[in-house]
Amino acid sequence: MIRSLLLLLSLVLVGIAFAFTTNPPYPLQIPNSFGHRYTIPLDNLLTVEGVALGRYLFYDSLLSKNNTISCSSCHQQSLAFTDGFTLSIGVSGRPTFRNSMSLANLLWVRDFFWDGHSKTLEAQALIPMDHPDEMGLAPEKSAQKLQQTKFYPERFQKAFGTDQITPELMAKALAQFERTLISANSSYDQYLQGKYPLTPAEKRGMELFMRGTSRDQNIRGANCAHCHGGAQFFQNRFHNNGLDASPLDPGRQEVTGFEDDFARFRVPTLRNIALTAPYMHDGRFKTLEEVVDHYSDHIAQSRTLSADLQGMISLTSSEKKDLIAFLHTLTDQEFIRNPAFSNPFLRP
Amino acid sequence: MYSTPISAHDFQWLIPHLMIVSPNRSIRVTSIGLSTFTGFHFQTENRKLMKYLLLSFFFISSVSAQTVLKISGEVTQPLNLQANDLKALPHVEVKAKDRDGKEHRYSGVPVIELLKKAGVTVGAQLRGENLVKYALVRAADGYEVLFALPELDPEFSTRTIILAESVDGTSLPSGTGPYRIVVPEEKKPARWIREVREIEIRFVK
Repeated sequence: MIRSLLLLLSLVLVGIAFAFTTNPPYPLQIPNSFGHRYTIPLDNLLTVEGVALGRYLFYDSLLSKNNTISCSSCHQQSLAFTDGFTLSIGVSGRPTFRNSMSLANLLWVRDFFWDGHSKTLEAQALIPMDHPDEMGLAPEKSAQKLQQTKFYPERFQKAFGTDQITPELMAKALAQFERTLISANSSYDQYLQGKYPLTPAEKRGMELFMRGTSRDQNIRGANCAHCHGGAQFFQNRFHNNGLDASPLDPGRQEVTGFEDDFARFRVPTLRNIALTAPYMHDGRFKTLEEVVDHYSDHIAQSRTLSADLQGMISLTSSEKKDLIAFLHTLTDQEFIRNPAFSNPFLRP
Repeated sequence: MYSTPISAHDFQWLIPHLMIVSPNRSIRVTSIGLSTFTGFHFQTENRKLMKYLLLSFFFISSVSAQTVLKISGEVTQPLNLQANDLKALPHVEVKAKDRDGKEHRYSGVPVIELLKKAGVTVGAQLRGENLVKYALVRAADGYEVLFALPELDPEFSTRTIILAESVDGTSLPSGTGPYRIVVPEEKKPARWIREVREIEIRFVK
């Protein structure tokens, strides 16, 4: 009897010790409608400690040249991880080249940045750190700075089993945190689950958004879903959306070298779009009204204009209002308030 | 002496002011182009003519030397095809209805020919576990569509799916071409993928 009790006790103790020494996998909740077409590198699986470390790094301005800028400076949770500026200002005081992108649902993104020049989040994470007009500090130097703190070496030890901080491990931790930023609980999602009734204007807007125009059947549609459709409200595609007759920014062409890719940019997500103004790769539109006016009335013809934008219908003013009402249903209040995504240094 | 590749940098002075050339696009003067130079003496009086000739070759080679179609994945021979390689492959003409509801004549390379060239398991090899392989076709803008291998193999299918390069005798327009998949008899043309750049052969996991 005593022997079996002792055995049980020792098993419990071993269990407790095990729980303290290991780093359990991070329980990622994948929305069913989003599907599982994503890649998490086998050498950077999500762990509780890795995600927690990535979150600290994301919010730490130590990673910048003059300790003033962190990733979160240009990617603020309250704005669905954008910054509200046309172009962002980094350590140099000069504006960035393009508008800050939302970080929602990056797990499903395949080519990062407006021109898609990074294939993985791990590769992406180091680029703004190094850029003189963003954080302006070589990742090797950041790693040295972190190494000298009391705070970070033990956290790298917990997350990766080594307290030797390297840019590679920093990038891995940041990528882990960013993969957890899933937004899938907007009013529209609740509508799909039967928990939120769309207003008549939102419903009309949704119909305009989802369907194309059919002149034979006398159906009017804005067909936004053609490029911004699917559960994530984006597709991994690059298009010239007719902003200029003579575009200045070569966009995707700089990455691929193909002339046909001139002035093509990523099709961004429309989730939380009401929070992520200003819009477009150069942040030229301040409001959703301006964006909808553009697609309805001001598509500029150019050599690489997307074939999908030829022959768009001009929307009436009430159709535009309906469409914008629908776009507001894509705002996910839970996402922008989720404590797991907030600044960990501000925790009480 | 003439066989060394010439980099884009060497031609910088030839590039019109606004033309953007990406550093990752390699430009190689073809042997056909260089044979013309045999016997030339690189003397000062010939420089002008040289520049002129190089200028014309630059434009020819910059068009022809770009990889226009990549075939990768479960292949024995990954391919980076240039426009001329595609031209040299057998062509067929198919009739099919586009989104406009009208029948057009499309000319191009049957996809099966591309698969054979890349050493994909088609024909007699398309059996057993090879039946769960598929071709993922990717466009310039990232749009993707999928065909199971038997759909592309004439031993299974009666229709010929082609990589078209012309419609009704003219090259496909910008935004659609230079290459587009045409799937005859398919009711909805969603898999008629435009601006095709890559075909990746994969196994279902």
